[in-house]
Amino acid sequence: MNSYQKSEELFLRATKVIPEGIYGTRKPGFVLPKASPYFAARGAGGHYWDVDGNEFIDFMCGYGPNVLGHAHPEVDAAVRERVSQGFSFNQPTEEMVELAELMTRLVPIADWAVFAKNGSDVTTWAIRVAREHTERSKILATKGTYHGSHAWCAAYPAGVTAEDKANIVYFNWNDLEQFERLVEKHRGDVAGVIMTPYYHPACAPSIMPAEGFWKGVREICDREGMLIILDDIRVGFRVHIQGSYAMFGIEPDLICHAKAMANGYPIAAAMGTKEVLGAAEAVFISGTYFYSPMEMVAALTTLRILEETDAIPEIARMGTRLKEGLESLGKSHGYNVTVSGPAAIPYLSFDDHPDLYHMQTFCREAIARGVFFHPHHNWYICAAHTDEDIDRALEAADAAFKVVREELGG
Amino acid sequence: MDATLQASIFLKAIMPLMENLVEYDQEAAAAIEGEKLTVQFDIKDGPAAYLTVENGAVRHGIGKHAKPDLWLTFPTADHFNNMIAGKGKPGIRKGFTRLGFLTKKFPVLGKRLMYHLRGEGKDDSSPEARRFQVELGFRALLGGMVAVVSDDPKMKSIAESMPVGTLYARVLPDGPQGSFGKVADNTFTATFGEAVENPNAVMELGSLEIARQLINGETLPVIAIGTGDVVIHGSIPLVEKINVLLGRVSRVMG
Ligand SMILES: Cc1ncc(COP(=O)(O)O)c(C=O)c1O
Repeated sequence: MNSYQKSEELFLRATKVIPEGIYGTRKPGFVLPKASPYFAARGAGGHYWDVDGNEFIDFMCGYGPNVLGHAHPEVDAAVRERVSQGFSFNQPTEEMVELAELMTRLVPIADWAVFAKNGSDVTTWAIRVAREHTERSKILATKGTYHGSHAWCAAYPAGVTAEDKANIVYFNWNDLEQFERLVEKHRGDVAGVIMTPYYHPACAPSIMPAEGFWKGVREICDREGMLIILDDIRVGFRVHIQGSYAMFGIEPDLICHAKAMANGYPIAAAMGTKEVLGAAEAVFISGTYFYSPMEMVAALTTLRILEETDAIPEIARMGTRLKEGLESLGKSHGYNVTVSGPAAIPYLSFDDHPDLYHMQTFCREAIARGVFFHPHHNWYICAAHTDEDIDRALEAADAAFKVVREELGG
Repeated sequence: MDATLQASIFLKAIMPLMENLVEYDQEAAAAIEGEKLTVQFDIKDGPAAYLTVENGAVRHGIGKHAKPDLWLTFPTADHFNNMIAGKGKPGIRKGFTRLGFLTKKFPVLGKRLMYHLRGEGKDDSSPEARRFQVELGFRALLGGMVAVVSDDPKMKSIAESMPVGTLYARVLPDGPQGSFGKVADNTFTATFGEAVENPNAVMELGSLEIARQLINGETLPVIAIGTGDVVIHGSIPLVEKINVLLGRVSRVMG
């Protein structure tokens, strides 16, 4: 049994000085209280240690950014070198130009890039660019998709006014007819649509785009003068060096990147085609830290490694091993389990038990055996995961399935 | 606070407590002795609820009763709130002869309830009183969720996005239990006193004392979850929405 005593002590300290103790997606209630750590201490490659010294194979990768693994020597050395020269200046540095050059080369559909810190910065900015370009106000978005923490896309109502969301219109993933109906209903006032490449909600299986869905969206957008904003923040470079549009055959006008571009260093990017450059130049973007070369160096190094090594195919290979192993183990324990999403970003579900009791018990047991599987969110594979990690994860999964069967039955 | 929400909270979260009150409080029990009637409270284009008094017990229901003996109408939520504050009179659609219940008995129930919720009764720390207060608080939270999810404009998006399903909540080891859930679009219910079979999610409060602290706002649900004093299993999408409603109930009910 792992002990989480220090985690819990720290949590109690935190509750005295931080609202909710730990807020947002990292709050204990979103994982497994008492059965998973609340505070991390250090990481190396595909593993990390919590404040109590428990070691885990890390299948969350910091909710996505760790694409090469924790404490990557090359990325960190490049950052240290930059830090030793100073990194907070009155002007941007050469790295900003280099990074935009590199990214527009890697992502051929895009002609320019701007940089910010978080995913929410760039999704919010991108919808403003779409509005400026089209001189329209409404944005279509799929129900249940996370685009960040800003008011227009906040998942919770506290502090959000009706006006904040008045111009966001929701439709169901893969429902092209509904999409078209809504475009017709608001004809002439829809600036564009923001979507992830496939549907990856929390607490439910990932759903791939239906045959012809993206093509249909593009046709309607072209006909109606609307833009496509691809929110590639979760998927992006983890699945393809050009980003997910190349894998899914999407033709976006604007793309948002963040996770998986700098191995955990805080940087996000919005990219776009030359057609929307004018609007991008018109919509103000700035942030005290948006110009910092420290993260740009991390992005330059990470993207170069992703391009020059077999990191991306290796991530897919490890993910495929994990997916196939879990599905077959599930079956051997008498469960229909499905691992959905791309191999690099797996989501495990017990098909006959959508209420998550089985999933929670399964993850509790895996975590107790040193394998950090999240019960309510998709997982991430990184390039530092080894065949041995996958073997160990499957071994833990076998034992975890057994406990699920003993405790919860069919 | 929005007048409709205030009325809704009284009708859906406070009035149900009268069921428990007459079982525990002798003065309240004496007030309804020998009474047999159903009183309907009916706000035009707004929430409605009724109380049935019979054999020394009170039963509460949300919505409209088929055959009330005394049918009180209110043109607006403000009129209802004013009556509760003792500052106005209702319209009477039916049952003039039963009006004595409203003017003489109902105020006793209201007064005794306030004695336990906000008055000296709250300071009574005998085990029976503590348990009774937790029962009241627990039930008010369940009913309060129905009120905010149905009648608080701020909770509209939660009402819509909450999945259909039921949360079973109980206080360990043998404290109050109940449920809150979404039955269908725009239809929410709370039950009190019974276990629920095959709930979509379960919330267990570790002890009567933890429940008391949560009800009194001395500790926050998120913190009690982190410390393991409150344990939750099952549908997290349901629980996440319910947590928002719980937070909202605590804020609006103070
Ligand atoms: C698809 C998607 N979009 C946007 C965001 C928001 O990014 P951030 O949390 O960096 O603001 C996230 C974060 O998880 C995401 O997964």
